[in-house]
Amino acid sequence: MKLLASGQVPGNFALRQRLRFRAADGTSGALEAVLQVHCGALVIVGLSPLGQRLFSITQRGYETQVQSFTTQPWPFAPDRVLLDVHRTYLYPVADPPLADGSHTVFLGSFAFVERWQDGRLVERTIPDRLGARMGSVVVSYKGGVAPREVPRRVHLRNGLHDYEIEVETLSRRELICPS
Amino acid sequence: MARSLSSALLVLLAFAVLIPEAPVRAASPLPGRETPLDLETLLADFARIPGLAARFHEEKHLALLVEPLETRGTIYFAPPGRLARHTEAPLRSTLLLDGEQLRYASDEDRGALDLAVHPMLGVFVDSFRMLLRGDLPGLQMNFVLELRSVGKPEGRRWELVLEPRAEALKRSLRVLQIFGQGRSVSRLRILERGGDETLMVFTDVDSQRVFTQRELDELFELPAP
Repeated sequence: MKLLASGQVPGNFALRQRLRFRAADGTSGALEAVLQVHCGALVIVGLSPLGQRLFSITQRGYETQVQSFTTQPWPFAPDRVLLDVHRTYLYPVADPPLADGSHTVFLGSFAFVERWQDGRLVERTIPDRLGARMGSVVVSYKGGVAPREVPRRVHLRNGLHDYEIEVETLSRRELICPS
Repeated sequence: MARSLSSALLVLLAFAVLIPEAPVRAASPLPGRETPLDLETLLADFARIPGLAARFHEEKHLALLVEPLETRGTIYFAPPGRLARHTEAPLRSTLLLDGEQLRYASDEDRGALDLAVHPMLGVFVDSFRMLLRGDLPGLQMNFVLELRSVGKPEGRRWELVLEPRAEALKRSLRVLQIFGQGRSVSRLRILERGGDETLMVFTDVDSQRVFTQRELDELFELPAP
């Protein structure tokens, strides 16, 4: 279990975020991003510091569509961006909260480990596989995150692909999906 | 950032330079108007301003997103060619255009771009500065211009429509519209191919702003890292 179907993501909302990344090849940089879930569709838009669109990823069900607005190669493949978004923001947070300590959590048959402290999720460790190689993605929620909260600051480290991303969520807007 | 911009845009520069200067479309008055304002007069007026400061509220409407992305801040222009955009929300950042150099800084990042190497971005970013410094040849080289105006000469409202000339720019940009009154700008609207639209609304516009040396040093420089 890796991607959730977009229709499984509850609510209609838009998160405006700032990202800072360091890639395996030593590239580092910053960008703005918007994560939107609306009427069963998930949209991620990346914007340059100058406000230019860099890329968009749209997911409907399990189908994904990627658009790039630059010819430069990206330090991360779009499917990894989408996967990281799911792991960090869309995998459900247990409600009621889990007891303090480490827990193995299952999404279908897919297992990962969560660490809870004071009623808040503080870390997720998720296995990542590329062919025969295996590594871990560690998502750290600064200050922890409670059920139905939006994590304010997140650090993600991918041990297999050797990259790190810091994400700050600047705002959350509730959206309406007309019935 | 520089990595993320297409080096293929170099082609555009060559293309833009080769475009012959086409005649400006005749200024057309808005309904109910007397003598129309002409481009030479409007640009000559702007060429005389000592400086400009204005608050801005930008709404970027992306076709993929339900709600616009809002940005607020202040812009400053000091002739002949310095333009500063200080964004306050949602992120503090500074964007400086001076000559052919575009520099930017935020809490997380800073960098510089040579507009000569990124001409499409240059035209896009520079069009507003060309207006403020009264650079009619520069505007005419890059855009087909149409000016509409209404009202009497003092405080006349106007709308300048800029359609890109370069084919490569046309593929992404449909039209730029700049609205104003007298020597003041009120709105900047950018319509892109594919349905995206950016609207900047200016308030507290001071088009007679004279900057002190200290202000020039502070407003037209990037903050220390």
